[in-house]
Amino acid sequence: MIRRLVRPFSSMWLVLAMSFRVNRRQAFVAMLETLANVLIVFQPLFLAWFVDGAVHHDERKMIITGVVFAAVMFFGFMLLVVGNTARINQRERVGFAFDVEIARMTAEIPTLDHLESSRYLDELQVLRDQQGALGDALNSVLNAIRWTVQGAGTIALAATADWRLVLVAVAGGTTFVTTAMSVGWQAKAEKESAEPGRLVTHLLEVGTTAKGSAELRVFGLHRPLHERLVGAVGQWRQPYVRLYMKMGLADAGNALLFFAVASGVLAWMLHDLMRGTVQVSAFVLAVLLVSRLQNLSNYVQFSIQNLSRVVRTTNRFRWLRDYHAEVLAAHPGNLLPPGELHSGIRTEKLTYRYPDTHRAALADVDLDLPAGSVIALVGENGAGKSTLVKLLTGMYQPSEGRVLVDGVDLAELDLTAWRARTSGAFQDYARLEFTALESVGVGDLDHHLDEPRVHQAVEDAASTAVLTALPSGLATQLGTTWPEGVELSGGQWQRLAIARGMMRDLPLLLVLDEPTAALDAATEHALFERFTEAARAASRRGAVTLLVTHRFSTVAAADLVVVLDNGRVAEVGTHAELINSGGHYAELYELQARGYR
Amino acid sequence: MRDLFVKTTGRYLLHARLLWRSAPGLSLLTLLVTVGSGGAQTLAIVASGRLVGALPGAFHDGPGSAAASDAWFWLIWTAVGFVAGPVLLGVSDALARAVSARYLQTTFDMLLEVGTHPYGIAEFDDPKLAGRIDALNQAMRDWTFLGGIDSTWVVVQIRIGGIGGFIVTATWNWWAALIVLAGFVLMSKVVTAWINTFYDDLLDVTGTARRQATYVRKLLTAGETGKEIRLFGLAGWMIERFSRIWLDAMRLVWRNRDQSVRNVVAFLSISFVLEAGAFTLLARDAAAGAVGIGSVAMLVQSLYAIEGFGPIGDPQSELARNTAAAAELVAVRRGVGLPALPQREDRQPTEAPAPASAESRPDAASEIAERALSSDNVPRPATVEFTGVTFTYPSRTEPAFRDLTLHIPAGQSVAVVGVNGVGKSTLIKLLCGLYPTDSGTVRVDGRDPAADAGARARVAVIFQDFVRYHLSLRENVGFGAISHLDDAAALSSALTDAGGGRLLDRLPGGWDTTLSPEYADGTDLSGGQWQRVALARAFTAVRGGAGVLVLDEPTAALDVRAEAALFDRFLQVTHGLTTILVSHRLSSVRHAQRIVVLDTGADGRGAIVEDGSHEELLALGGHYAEMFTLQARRFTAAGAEVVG
Repeated sequence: MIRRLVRPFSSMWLVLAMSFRVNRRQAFVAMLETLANVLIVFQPLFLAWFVDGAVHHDERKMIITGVVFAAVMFFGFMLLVVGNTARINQRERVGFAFDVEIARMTAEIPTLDHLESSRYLDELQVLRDQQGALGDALNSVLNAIRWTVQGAGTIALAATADWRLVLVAVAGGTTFVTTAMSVGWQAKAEKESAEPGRLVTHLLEVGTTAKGSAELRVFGLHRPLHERLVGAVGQWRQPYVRLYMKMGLADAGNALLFFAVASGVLAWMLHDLMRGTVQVSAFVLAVLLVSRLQNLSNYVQFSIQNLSRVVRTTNRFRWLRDYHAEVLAAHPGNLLPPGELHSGIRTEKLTYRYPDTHRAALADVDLDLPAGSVIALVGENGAGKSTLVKLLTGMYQPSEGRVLVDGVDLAELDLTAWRARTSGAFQDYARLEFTALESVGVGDLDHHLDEPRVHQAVEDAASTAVLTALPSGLATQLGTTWPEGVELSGGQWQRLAIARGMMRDLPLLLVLDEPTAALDAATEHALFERFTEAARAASRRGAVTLLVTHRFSTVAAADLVVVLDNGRVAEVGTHAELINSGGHYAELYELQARGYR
Repeated sequence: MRDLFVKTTGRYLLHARLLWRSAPGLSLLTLLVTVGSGGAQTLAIVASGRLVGALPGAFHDGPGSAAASDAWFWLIWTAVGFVAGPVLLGVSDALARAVSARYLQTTFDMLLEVGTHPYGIAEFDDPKLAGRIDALNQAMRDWTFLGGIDSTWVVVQIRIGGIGGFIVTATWNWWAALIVLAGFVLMSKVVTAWINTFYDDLLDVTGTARRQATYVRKLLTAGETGKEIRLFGLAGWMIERFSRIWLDAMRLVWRNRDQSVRNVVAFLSISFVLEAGAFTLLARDAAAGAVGIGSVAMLVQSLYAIEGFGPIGDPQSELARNTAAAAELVAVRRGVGLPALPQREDRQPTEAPAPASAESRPDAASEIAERALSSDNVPRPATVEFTGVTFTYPSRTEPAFRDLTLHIPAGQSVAVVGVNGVGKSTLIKLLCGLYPTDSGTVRVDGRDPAADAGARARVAVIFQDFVRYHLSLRENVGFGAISHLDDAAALSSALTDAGGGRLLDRLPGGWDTTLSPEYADGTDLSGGQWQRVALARAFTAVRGGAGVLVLDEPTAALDVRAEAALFDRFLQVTHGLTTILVSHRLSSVRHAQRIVVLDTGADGRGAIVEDGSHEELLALGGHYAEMFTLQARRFTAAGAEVVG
């Protein structure tokens, strides 16, 4: 209970503290709006005085209060404009500061599970997809403060005019009840609309980007896509339409009740006025204040809604922060990896289950990857090849068992340091739309702008042809959505990704996870020659090269072939041994070799 | 400044048209209720003024007097005014969301149309257009876009209150009312123009830089790049890059804003002088007895109510942001040759402009496709002819092909091989009529797919980067031929032909399973499974009447067994059909009746260097033979090792 009461304040503090940290001066200026709201509170008082002046034929009083009224109003406006500018600027700054934090934490979490789990996606969808979400939270906090101050000021003013007006303020209390309920309705609507909202984003992406443009045209899909988009938008908004139907009715009900009470109080005051116990000026102020008091419940409502939004958003942020800390704590390893490998990499009873399922992607894998060897990892789709690669590079935390690097448990190594001694290329490579130089160069950040090294890496990846096809060579911006940007074919992207994997000097572990799937025969051939050559060179330092493939033409040259089947090691041996044993490997090999006879 | 006023007015007009187009009846009703709510405010001002006017008399004469019953009468009307305003506002708030939902349907659809309308895809090679569409996608998903539509009514309600205030004030002194009004309108214009400017700044000035920042941030938080970011330790570098780009872009925006806020403050003081003057005038009239107490009470409220013409704050800035995005949407639509607003549903849907013939409408296209089916529902194979084709990508200066000729008779199976980047995919895009040629002709069954939707409908294609729709399996397969979407038998056999029969058993919701893990009832498919689904889509297109089946690297994500199974069945499934297979797996293509080798010719452009059957090309001893033996040798060498 106490936690629930404290939550909004700690959430507000989280956002406000960041605001002051980011830009103290502007954080204060953004508060000027609150001051403006205080001034607004006093407007009815001046108007009442003005009327009172008229009653007493006091021209001086009228002119002074009239001018003061105008002055207060415009000074208020000025504060609003200046404060508003600061608030919008500050909202962007704070949103950005949190975005950096979110990006940092998401990317720093050493394992990958969170990026592949639907639970994580649900929790952090807003933070991930909505840039500046916590900047919006700051906006909500500032608004909530403004409205709270204005509400409290209005009540205080009303109480001084006539005590009965406090009853009117109390009649607005039903708003608390409906607002408390509407927070629940709102969360429900948010949840219900999340999936159709995602579909809307997806359909627009398919329909408006280059990716789907060709296919949509050939299959004549604009009509079906249009229908689905319109449907999805409808489903996305429908929960909100219903929500506001309920909230609108609640608002109308509250207003009815409120003004019934307010009219009663005014009637009571009028009754007393006729008996001389209430002054005309007090009654005028009461009339002028009633509509303000009604707004009061709106302010309460806005504040609660805004604060609950803040709590929801900051909770997500906290969730990420806790998760980040938790995962970091689970990887306390701080040993540095060896300068070179002596015995190699070994796995013991290595098992991995995806967090959302119980099926083991990899089960009880005992493997010995000797130092200095080239190992081919083969198997059908879903056999667990990529999972093994992720476990060896520390991207996944083993469910059971362990990975030993020269006898030291990977869990005890500093993962960042270990990864700095690995390199690799993947089938689902990243398309880094920077300049070609950077896109390849980041494979070794210490030398990412070092042109000769990048050239060398490109050559090691047998990809010089990709560079020559680019209008400005390494300086070419990649990706057509950027000015002067050039689009690459899938194969070209992939070759740059391989070049990226060739940037690091003599890694201890090189993983090549089907990086040649989209490549032509000549390139593939050239690459395998290079890989093997590079692997032999690296083997002097005991490096292990792991080549994941489903092309068996590559496999024969490996020192050791590991065949995975359904998450288990089916066979291990040299190519010749496995062919002669006539098992799983021999069968798959035969299937492929048949194509060339 | 004048330009800004014109721009603002134009945007509000567009906004009104969009609302009217999206939900005419509902918008009108919401408008009426909103106006009622604003009017109730004026009623309260008038009635409470009368009430106050009766007070001195009631105070003096006591209960039962004429002044007292007057006071009671006006108290009731004041209460009515008080209560009607917020109650109607509640109603209008509920209605507004229903209008917004329709508005979003309209505008999102308008955006979609930008992507789907041009007949070819040459437009999208323009990075500027792609950038604008991308920026629109972002702006329209921003909550301020949505909030802006809802805010419309808040703004209207406040403005109506302002009109009421003006009318009431004008009954006292019309020119004083006019001057105060002018002061507020000026202020509002200044503030609105100022707010518009800084949202425009966000869209225009910093568009690319902000997009870049967003791009890098997405790389950091998205799943796809997670592996490499960790392997190469890129987090710090990317965060630094994200920060630098974003801050550089935003500093400019902030500086502009801080400067323009000073102008606004200057204009505010003008309005202040006008308002203070009006109060002074009222004070003098009241003192002179020209205006009674009741009128004073009414006028102090109405003078204040004219503020309704002044700046409104958040609702206004959200509305400004919304209308800025809508204006940009319309500009982009015009840029691709679309009308500002879509045509009404009850009229003909907007169609691609290129084809002029009657046969270009999609229903006509599918008719043509249907006619192409012979009596036993097997499509007639199509002929494909490239004759003297020269083609340059719009974004390049050098042609990809020069004078390329390739004739494929109906029913032939052709494989296209060649190194990466030689133009295999370009060839296919031309076949689909996605780009017009510089010179020469592309014909499917003698008709030009770049100008004739009927000819394009004869092509079934699976591109290398086929679309993974976050929709049901049924739609993912059935999208090959919309007319067959409900034809369960056709879809089943297409999926089976594509080797996806087992996939269906594994899906919890069968055909209705959503193929994406982002949905509660959704499932993720592996790369290989997706490829089978995409292939099934192409097979469905064939059932829908396509006469040429084009497969661009159909087995890249398949494993050995799946690939072998696919090709064993492929020839059987596509028997009698014109097929074009692009692959660099030579073991897959050798079974094609004819193999065409593309390579960069002497002039550095893509050209056909070899053309013949597998045996012929091997005998020729050229490129193909070299590539094939290269791949085969690895097997024979390894095999020999074993045998030896």
